[in-house]
Amino acid sequence: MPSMANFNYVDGVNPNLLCCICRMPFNDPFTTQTCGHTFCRDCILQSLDHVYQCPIDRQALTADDLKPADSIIRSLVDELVVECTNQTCSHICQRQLLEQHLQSSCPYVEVPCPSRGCDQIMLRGEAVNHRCEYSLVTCDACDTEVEAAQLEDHRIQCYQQLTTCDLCGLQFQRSAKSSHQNSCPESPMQCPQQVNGCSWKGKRVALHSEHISSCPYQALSGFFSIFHERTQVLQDENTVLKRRVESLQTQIRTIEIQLQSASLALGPWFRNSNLGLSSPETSISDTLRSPDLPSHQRPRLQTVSSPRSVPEGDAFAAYFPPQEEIQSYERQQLSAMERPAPDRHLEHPVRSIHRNSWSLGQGWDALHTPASRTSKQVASAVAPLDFSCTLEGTLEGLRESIVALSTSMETLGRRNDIALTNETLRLNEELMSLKANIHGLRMQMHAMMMDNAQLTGRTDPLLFENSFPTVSTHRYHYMSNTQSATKL
Amino acid sequence: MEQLTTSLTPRPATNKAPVAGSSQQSSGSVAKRLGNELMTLMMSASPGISAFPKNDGNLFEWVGTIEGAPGTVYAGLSFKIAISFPPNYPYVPPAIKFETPCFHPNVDINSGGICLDILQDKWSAVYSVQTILLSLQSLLGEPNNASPLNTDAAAIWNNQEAFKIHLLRHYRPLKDESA
Ligand SMILES: [Zn+2]
Ligand SMILES: [Zn+2]
Ligand SMILES: [Zn+2]
Ligand SMILES: [Zn+2]
Ligand SMILES: [Zn+2]
Ligand SMILES: [Zn+2]
Ligand SMILES: [Zn+2]
Repeated sequence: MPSMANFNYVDGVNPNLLCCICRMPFNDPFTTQTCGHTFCRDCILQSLDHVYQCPIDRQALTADDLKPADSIIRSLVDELVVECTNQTCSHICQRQLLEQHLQSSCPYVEVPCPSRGCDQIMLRGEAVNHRCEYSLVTCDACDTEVEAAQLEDHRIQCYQQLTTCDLCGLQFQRSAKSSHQNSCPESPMQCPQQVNGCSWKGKRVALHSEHISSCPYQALSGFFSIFHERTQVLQDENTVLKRRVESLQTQIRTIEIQLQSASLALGPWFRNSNLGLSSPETSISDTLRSPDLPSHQRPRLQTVSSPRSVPEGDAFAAYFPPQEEIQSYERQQLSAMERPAPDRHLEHPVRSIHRNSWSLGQGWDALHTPASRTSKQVASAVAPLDFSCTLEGTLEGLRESIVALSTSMETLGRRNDIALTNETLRLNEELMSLKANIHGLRMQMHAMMMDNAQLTGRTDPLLFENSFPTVSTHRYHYMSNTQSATKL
Repeated sequence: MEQLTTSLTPRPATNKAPVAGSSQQSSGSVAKRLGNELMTLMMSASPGISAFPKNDGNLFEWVGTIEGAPGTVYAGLSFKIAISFPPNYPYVPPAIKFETPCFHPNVDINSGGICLDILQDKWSAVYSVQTILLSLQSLLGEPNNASPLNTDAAAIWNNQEAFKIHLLRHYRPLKDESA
């Protein structure tokens, strides 16, 4: 591991990973078993050279109390990103990989020449330019390995020596070895027409003296050359075509993959070009009429747009309720609306929702084609889903409508709550006043019974009591009147 | 311990420059740590203390300044301190002395030597220049009268009025040496 003083850390380091002694990230961290403090190995060992104490808490400490720090600490510091210690090198890497970089790939590390005998030292990046005079080369004449610097000397004496041809027994100087190899009459040869099918093999002398004149392929050599040229042209053309087909195939494959992912992403939005693209607006208005949007105008819409059956094979058919269902739902809605409203507060939410859907419809109409704009008044009642609009635009519109719906639902719920509370209050008050009335009546009954008793001959001390509840009954009435007034 | 000693042996790859490396390496790491401390001192801006290398070339000789803490008899006075780092810092403490004459029970009025445990046997490698200067600043206000270097000062410490007179008699205000 290179000296820690040389590390240059690229990013800021978590202070918990700093050694208290050298103030740098731990280098080969060791932890004390006595007190659990962590230091660089070198730092704590040097400290122990001076005093047998933990530098942080002065607890007695020896080298035997040290153990390598947790692997998690080790990997945390080993993964810190550092610059290469060679200033000229711009390489950065994890600290644990730096050593390998220096040993095998850093171009600014000095390395010795690998050739034996060469003591030159150079930067690794420049080693390719080093023409080493100690590297071994093979003499072409005698096939022995010689150092590059001595090749010339070797050749001078090597070339003068005589050698004998193994095949023909001729003696010549080594310098002539290669030229003799090309002319030795005894060397094995093949017919020059071998490429065209001649299987003749024999000595060089025999080739020229006997075979060439009698070779049937040699006679056809003119035809072969023309034929060869044509084949060459065809082959070239073929390779070009092959390459083109390959590239087309890969293109098709990518397009298929893209199409697949696109259709996956689009889900029901995706459809084949040969399925009902001709009249998207009408089929959509038929299939995508959302039954969740309450509206007074729904029944009217039904009569305006001509009833249409869902096109067969339409991918959306499954996502939406069939026509009958929608109609029955609307009938329910309508009958609910025709019932007398129990409280006029309840009517507001309905109206506000209607207003929302109205504005939403207007927003969508901007995206519509002119054809649908003619029926704007009617169509706007339903949130129109338009495939000519982009998916994002439609999704945006749908989201807006959901937001609007949820706010309307909220208002509706709140108004409902208020109405319910008011109603309950009113009923409570009525109940109270009724109770009071009953009480008063009971008192009057009591008084009458007392009167009766008096008539039968006794004085009544409860006569005063009798008048009080009657007054309170009147007060209850008054209160309930004022409260219902404020409520309204 | 076995793994320690085995891993302590130098790697064969680094054998090429055998002797010069180690001493250069250690002085390099001391310089790095001192540079680190200088950074920390300048960034933390502790009130009343500061320190800086004497000149650009030598990181091992510093000059520090301590201002007396408010509320003590040393309030409003500042003292120059020479700090000299040994090559094996931080394993041994730096040599510290007052350059400005300082009348104090634990400071030698003539040599400027200081009697402070963390600068001698209580030193730890985790201490820094900042720790030292802060300790000296608090030592000014809270002397250790049990083991005085300056017995006169220790004797009149309890009479702060008289102590202040003595203190000011010895005190020479700082002159900027670089000017
Ligand atoms: Zn400890
Ligand atoms: Zn360390
Ligand atoms: Zn490098
Ligand atoms: Zn070489
Ligand atoms: Zn040779
Ligand atoms: Zn031959
Ligand atoms: Zn032939």
